[in-house]
Amino acid sequence: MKKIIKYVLLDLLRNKIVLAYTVLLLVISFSVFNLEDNPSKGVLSLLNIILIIVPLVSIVFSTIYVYNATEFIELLVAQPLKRVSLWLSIFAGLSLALCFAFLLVLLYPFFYMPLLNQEE
Amino acid sequence: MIIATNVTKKFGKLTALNNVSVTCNRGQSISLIGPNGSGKTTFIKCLLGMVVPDSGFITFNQQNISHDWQYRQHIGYMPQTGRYPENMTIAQIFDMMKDIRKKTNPVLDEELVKLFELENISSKRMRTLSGGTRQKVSAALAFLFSPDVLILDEPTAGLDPVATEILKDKIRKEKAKGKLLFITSHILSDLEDIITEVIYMQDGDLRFHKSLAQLQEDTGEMRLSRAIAQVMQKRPS
Repeated sequence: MKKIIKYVLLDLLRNKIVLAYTVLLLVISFSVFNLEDNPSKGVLSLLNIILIIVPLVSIVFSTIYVYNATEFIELLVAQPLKRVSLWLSIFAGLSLALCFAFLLVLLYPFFYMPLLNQEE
Repeated sequence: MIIATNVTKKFGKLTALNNVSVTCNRGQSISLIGPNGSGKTTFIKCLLGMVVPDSGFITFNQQNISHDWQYRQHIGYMPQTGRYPENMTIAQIFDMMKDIRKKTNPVLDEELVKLFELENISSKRMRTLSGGTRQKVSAALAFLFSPDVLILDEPTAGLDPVATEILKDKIRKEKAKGKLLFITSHILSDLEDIITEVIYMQDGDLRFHKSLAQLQEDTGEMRLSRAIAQVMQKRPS
């Protein structure tokens, strides 16, 4: 199961959409905190983004990815693997990749805000 | 070794398999022959558990294969059209398969990889490969783990004459080792000197399962292609 997660992740990390999504989220969170003086307003804007963009992209992208991975799944069902572990690994791989993108965005304010407080 | 009992599969109104019962033993090499859409590939997919029969069951070494997955470690499958993840290189595909199956199949048989010279192009991505090269990859993957049962769905389609000969030699070698072989092909001359048994299917029905010698005797034709042509003409569809 770990092996399949590894290969799903390898495939996803080379995927342009995941990279673009990560960059987009980073740009948004960066601009939200730099354009506003008030970090609490920034956090509020970030909340809106988390509530709208993240679930939307996660659902749409995962659907498209699984649909396009037909040939990968076809290749693996002929191998001695449990169906459950196959689907769980695809799920885990997808969630890990999307969580990674999301965590980058969450971590940015955490590192950024202490700096801001020190300046005041 | 593999026993299918009254396997029936329907896709909506279409009956893809109708009460098919087959018994296959080690050392046989069986060719599935029949017109397009006669249920050959569906039958193979049932054996692999990719299609679940509506009724009937299949046993592999006296074990029912439904909801089982371990039996697939004994099977090498070469699909009709090899479809692979576009972004992966040939080397990655092989590494992944070895990773997945190395616990159950530690013995590797890389003869076909060498003969097809896949190592020279191992860094190419799958989407850049031609149909024939994909077939070579599929063939090499099917034989890689030296499984007891080999299922080859149209193995020679799209291969050049040299590669076809290499593959046929390899199939003969595996047959000599006493493995069970399933081959479907429309190029009967390719099958002639490989197979020992013939399964003829039409419209989802299993019309007959005979040894090659028996078929030759019944039809009075020595060549497989003529014998099959005679059978097909007898039952105009």
